[in-house]
Amino acid sequence: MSVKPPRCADKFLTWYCRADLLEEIQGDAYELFKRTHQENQSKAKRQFVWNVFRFFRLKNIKRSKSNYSNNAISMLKSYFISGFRNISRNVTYATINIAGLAIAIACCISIFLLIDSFYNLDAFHKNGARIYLLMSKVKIGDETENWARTPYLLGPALKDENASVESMVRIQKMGDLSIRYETHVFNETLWGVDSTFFDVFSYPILQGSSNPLSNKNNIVISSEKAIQYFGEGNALGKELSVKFSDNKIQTFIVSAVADNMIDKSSMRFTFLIPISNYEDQKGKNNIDWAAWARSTFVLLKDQHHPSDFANSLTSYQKLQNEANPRFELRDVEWIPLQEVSARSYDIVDCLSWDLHPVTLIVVSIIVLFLLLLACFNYMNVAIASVSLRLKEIGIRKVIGGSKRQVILQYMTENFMLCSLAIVSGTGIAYFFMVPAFNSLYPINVPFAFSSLNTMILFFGGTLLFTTLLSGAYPSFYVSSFNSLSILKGKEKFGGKSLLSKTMLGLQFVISFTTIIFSLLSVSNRDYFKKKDWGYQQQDVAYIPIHGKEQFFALRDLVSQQKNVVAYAGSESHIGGDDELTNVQSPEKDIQVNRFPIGFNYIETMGIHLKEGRLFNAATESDKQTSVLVNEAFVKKMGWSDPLDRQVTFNGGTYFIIGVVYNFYFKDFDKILEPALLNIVSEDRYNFFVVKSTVGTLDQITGLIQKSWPSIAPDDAYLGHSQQEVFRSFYHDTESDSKIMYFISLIALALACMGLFGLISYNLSRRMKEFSIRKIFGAGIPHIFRLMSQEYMIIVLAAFMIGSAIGYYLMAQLHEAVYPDKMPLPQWPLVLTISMMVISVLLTVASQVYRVVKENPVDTLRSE
Amino acid sequence: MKGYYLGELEELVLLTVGVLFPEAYGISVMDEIETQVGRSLNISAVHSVLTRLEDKGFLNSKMSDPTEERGGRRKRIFLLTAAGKRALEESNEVRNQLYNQIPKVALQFKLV
Repeated sequence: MSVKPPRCADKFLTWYCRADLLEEIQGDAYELFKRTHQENQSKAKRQFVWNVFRFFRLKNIKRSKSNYSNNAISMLKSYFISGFRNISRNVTYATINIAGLAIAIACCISIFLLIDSFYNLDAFHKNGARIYLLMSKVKIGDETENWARTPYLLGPALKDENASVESMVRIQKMGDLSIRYETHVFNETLWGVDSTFFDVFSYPILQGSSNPLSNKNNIVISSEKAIQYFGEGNALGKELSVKFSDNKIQTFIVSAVADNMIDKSSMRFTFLIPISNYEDQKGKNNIDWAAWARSTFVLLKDQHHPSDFANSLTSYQKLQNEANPRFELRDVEWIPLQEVSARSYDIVDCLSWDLHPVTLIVVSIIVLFLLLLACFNYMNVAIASVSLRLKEIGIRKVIGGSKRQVILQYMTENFMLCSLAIVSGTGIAYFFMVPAFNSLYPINVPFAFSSLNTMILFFGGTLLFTTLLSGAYPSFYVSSFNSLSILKGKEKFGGKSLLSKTMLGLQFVISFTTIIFSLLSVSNRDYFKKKDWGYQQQDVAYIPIHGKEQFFALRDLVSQQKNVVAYAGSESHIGGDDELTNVQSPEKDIQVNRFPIGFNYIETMGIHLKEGRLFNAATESDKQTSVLVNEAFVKKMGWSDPLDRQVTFNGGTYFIIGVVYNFYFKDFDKILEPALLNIVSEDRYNFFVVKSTVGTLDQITGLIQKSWPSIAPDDAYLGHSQQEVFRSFYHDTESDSKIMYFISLIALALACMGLFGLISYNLSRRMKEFSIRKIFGAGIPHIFRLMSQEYMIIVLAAFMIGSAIGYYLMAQLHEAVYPDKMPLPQWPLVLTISMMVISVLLTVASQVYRVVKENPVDTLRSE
Repeated sequence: MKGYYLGELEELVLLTVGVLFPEAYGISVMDEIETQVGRSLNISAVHSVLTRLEDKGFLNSKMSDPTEERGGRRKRIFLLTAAGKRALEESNEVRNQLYNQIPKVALQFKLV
């Protein structure tokens, strides 16, 4: 008969019980079980389990095998002391290690802070969880775009007809308008908002009433603008006169000063006025379901979700589609306020500033690579340094140190180094990196974590990660040595083993990949910089104007200047704005960027004609029915003979009189879109462009600027040279490339540091060998070759693999992101490899110098 | 006296081990106490008392031959040591001594 007691309990007993007590205890439990089992099976089982639990006492439980448990603290203390001594004995190498890790950690901290603050933007709004941005899905051609714009009437309709909506606020851009305070005129962006703005959002009001937008001529300004305009004093009640786009001038009274939470908000407002001003501008009768609001936010009541009103959206959608068939609203969605900034890259005209997730991912990957690199550096130097400590390990093991204790010892040292690195890394991040970062990008990353938990998690995680990654391998490696053979001097240090060579190679592969990748992205930026714009951007300036009087005044002014080559007026301007227009031909309908211009504009801008002719002011038909198109237009239409073809747009029929070469009017990393140019009359001009002889542009613009107050007393002078049109693009790319330069520099520095540490360690170990060689007559070149050969091979192999990976990654990125094929230049290769070779040679040279200078006897005499 | 102190349960177990000689092990001790004294103990309690007595030097132990009902495991047989014997004697002596000193009168429950 074989009746077994419950297995789980039995296993549990075996697991916890001390080996010397197990037999007796288990035996008794079995015997009792057998006995009871004959009377009652289930009782026996219960009793067995109960007994197992009753036996679960401290004295029966297995002790850990180590006998040092009460000694642990003092042992740990001794590890710290010996660790500290080790660090102070090799200050150079410890510094190299710590510096490398610290720099990498500082990069990590900065990037983490950026990401952390980015994903926690807008978290300060008290009602944040109940605020949603409405987003339109609009049919454009064959595709659907996400628009932050929503029908102007949607917000009020939702609020009136749905009980779940507590409040809503619409935000409308009034334009970049001239604001005059006394005699000072500035150009500012004004936003028209509903008076509920401060109920929905929680921007703190620093001065003024809590409902500052109740009156139509109230204006709320941000605190930094208040200081700019009025100084530190009281801003309330001050008068600002605003010139609207229809040239009407209106006076506003400052009713409040608000903090626009520049670090914490994804949206940035400086001037707010009641949205009723927008309705006046547009004309009350013109506001129907076809009109758009730039953004609509709704504040829901507690315990409600936007899906509550999802059904009613369909009816509004129908109203909109009837009123505005050109931009067909497919659907309205909602995005919680906290997610808006993270998704804004995908939303057209979103008010939040965007950071493409790809950028974040690329930067985080690069930073992780840097950290990995620093850890590898550390690992390699740590393994190399073992050679000097073999005897210590041998003795430790002989006098009874277990393998675990040696591992623990190495880990403790490691922990010390990593903690030091984190502390100094935080310092570097605080004093250099984060400030540098803030100066490059439009946001201000505060040196603060979103919450205490994030901070603890981040630092704890980094410490654990670096300690384990950089320390695990060396400590296991070291502890596995056989103590006897160490002490007999038989244990060969593993510098020659395949594994450590592979590790070294891997380290260099990573660093080469990082360096090449970042240098290539720098070269991308340079490529954009040198790129042909498709027209003559030098010696051309543009000045935004209002109305034809200003145009005539400017014309009179510049036409007398002998340095002026050409001038023109236009409604739209390359790089300024253009009008998205639906153009029909008998074959196709396409979306086109239309430039309504004046005569002579093309000549002034230096756009090149490909075929046909330019506009002629003497020809009456050119004013009415002639258009020029660019190559992209012809290509999209699929024509081979575009001249004299007929197209229609905005209800008129036009003939193509010529084709111009493509010119860039948007950022260079976007696809060149079809463009069309037509002539408009002078009263619609918004820009004045002027071309000067080489080098005299400043003189011309200086002249214009001087007479500007008499030409346009209510407008700010906003003229710029054409080269500055893409300045925001260039500024961004400039910042990006600065960061990339910086990262590649760090990667390079880390690699060189690692190389230096490693080579000098290994060579100092072989000093005796070199001394003997020297005695036997080896020349310096010979010793030099011996010393550098091994590393050169590894570095070169790693260089080939690493650069291949770097080029491959960049090619993939190009394919994914940029529309036109970009060159992958060779100079990063040359730069990288020469830097590395130089650093290898320099390191070796410094060691060779030691060999040459020292008397070989000194090295050989001591054992 | 000091050092030979025995708790009540300890004394009981120690006596039982003596009674059961040479077959005293956990379960037999537990059973014997139950039949003779009427106290039902858990086996783990008996074990802890036995090991405590062994630590104090009143008992020593050896392993018996394996038996079938224990799944082929051996028993730990406990035996009294000289110190254990002395401890029992002493506690017995102390009790008797004290008992004998009780005045006769105190034990006569008659109406005066």
